[in-house]
Amino acid sequence: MLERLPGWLGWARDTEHARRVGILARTPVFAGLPHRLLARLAVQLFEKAYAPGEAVFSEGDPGKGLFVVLDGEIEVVRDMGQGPQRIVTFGPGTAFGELALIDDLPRSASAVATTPTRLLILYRSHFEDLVAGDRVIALVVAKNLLRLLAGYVRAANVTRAKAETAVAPAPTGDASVPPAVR
Amino acid sequence: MSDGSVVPEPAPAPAPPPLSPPARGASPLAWLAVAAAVVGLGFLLRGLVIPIALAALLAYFLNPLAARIQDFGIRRTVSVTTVFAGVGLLVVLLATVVAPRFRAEGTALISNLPSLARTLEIGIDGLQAELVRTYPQTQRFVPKEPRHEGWLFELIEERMGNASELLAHFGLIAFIVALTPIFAFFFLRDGGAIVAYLIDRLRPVHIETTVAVWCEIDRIIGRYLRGLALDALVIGALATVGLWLVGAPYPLLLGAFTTLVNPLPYLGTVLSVGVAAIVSIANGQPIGRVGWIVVVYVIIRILDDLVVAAITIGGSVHMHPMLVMVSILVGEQTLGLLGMVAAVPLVTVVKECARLLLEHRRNLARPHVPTAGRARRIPQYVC
Repeated sequence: MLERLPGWLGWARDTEHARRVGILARTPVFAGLPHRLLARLAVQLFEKAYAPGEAVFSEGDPGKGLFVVLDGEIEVVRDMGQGPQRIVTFGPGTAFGELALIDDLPRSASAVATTPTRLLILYRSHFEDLVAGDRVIALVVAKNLLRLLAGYVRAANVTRAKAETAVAPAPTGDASVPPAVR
Repeated sequence: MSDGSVVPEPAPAPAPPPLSPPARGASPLAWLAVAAAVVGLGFLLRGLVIPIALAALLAYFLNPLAARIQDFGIRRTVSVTTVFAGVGLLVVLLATVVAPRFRAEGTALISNLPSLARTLEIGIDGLQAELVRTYPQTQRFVPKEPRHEGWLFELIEERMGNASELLAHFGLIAFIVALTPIFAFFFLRDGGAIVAYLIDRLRPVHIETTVAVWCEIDRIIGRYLRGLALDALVIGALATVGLWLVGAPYPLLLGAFTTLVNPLPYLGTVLSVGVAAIVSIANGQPIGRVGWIVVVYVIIRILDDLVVAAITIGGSVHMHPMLVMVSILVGEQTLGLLGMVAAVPLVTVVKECARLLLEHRRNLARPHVPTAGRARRIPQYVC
């Protein structure tokens, strides 16, 4: 890559591109991808600025892409029956909306900018172009996505178990093992 | 974030920010004013429409190359300059190697045109007389007065225009050739920045779906148009080599003609074979040579259908044969041969855009399972 080229070629280097590649490399979905692919992805990303309070997407919207936070903060909220509740907050260098890359289901929550925020947006068609025809890349990304999904499911189990423990009578067995994994 | 798998924190947050975004960006009136300004500017600069359209097309074709160089972390201006330097070098190389031969063939064809036309004329008149002798009822379709010698050459001259018109056309061509690369450079360099600016001006609530649909259209149409151009170039080169191998006259010119008409489905090959056969006969070549020319084009057609088109264009874009024929006829009525060639790609682009937009609308209208319901359906003991 260009970093290894002599210093006199430094004038040709795109610093913004290098910054984007660095951010993508730290994103869990793209962990382990070779630098050349991250560099290709970085060229295809769209950048968009959001003012505080602006919705990135709303619950029920068709999911079309993955978002990476460049600057600012994004809050994910969902209507749980008793009004919108904050689910999670994303800061710089984190990504959200990754499942839109693999299915056509609508968004399960809303994402809102809480501060002036800049996001990088990767659309599914670009992602599909990237993984198409390269089994190794497809495998790496699929493993990353599976890891993320496993994390969500484990966390959901723990949350549910805690909720069940709160409402149900105390279990008679070993109380140190959560019910979900018992 | 995931669908149905995001994990709520136990404690609810105090007051979430409003979900509806505040209105941002230009008002519809401002967009209308911009559109009116663009139309007005287009009218004032209508003389530049052809070079601008060609430049936009050239920039669109070259964009993947520039993006590939950018992948190495090189600035856009440098990568675009590199692409243009490469293309310029290729053009100079082609001009050095191919242009003299091309010019020689062109000069020979022009100087031989009267005698070639005379040969064809004799053939056509003979065929006509034979037809009338065998089927007298066809007499009413034949001119009563015998045609004078050289009528075909006069007809060709009339269709091609006289020398002064050709000179005027040459001026226009030179103007287009000079301006197109300049416009293309700036389109290629700044096109991405303009798209990024427009995307940033979109209302946040629309951006995800709008740009996703745009990306999909760009992917399908881009692949189709670039594939079509590449396919035509490969087939033209194969035709040139094939015609040269079988000893047909003017292989470079006929190969260039094959490249030009190749985007015409069904008719492209027929036109190419027809013109090559006529030129061969008019040059006094034996009928067996015409047979070889047909064999060359049949082999090229098979190669194109089975290998070249499959690699370059792929099977993502389909058009009904009836629609193809109607497009070609309308294109021919509007702009002649160029209209015929441009009609099918143009109709395909419009059809694919409409298909993608309708598909997107259908997806939006599709009812979805409420989030809470999906969340409850997650099996509890997945681990």
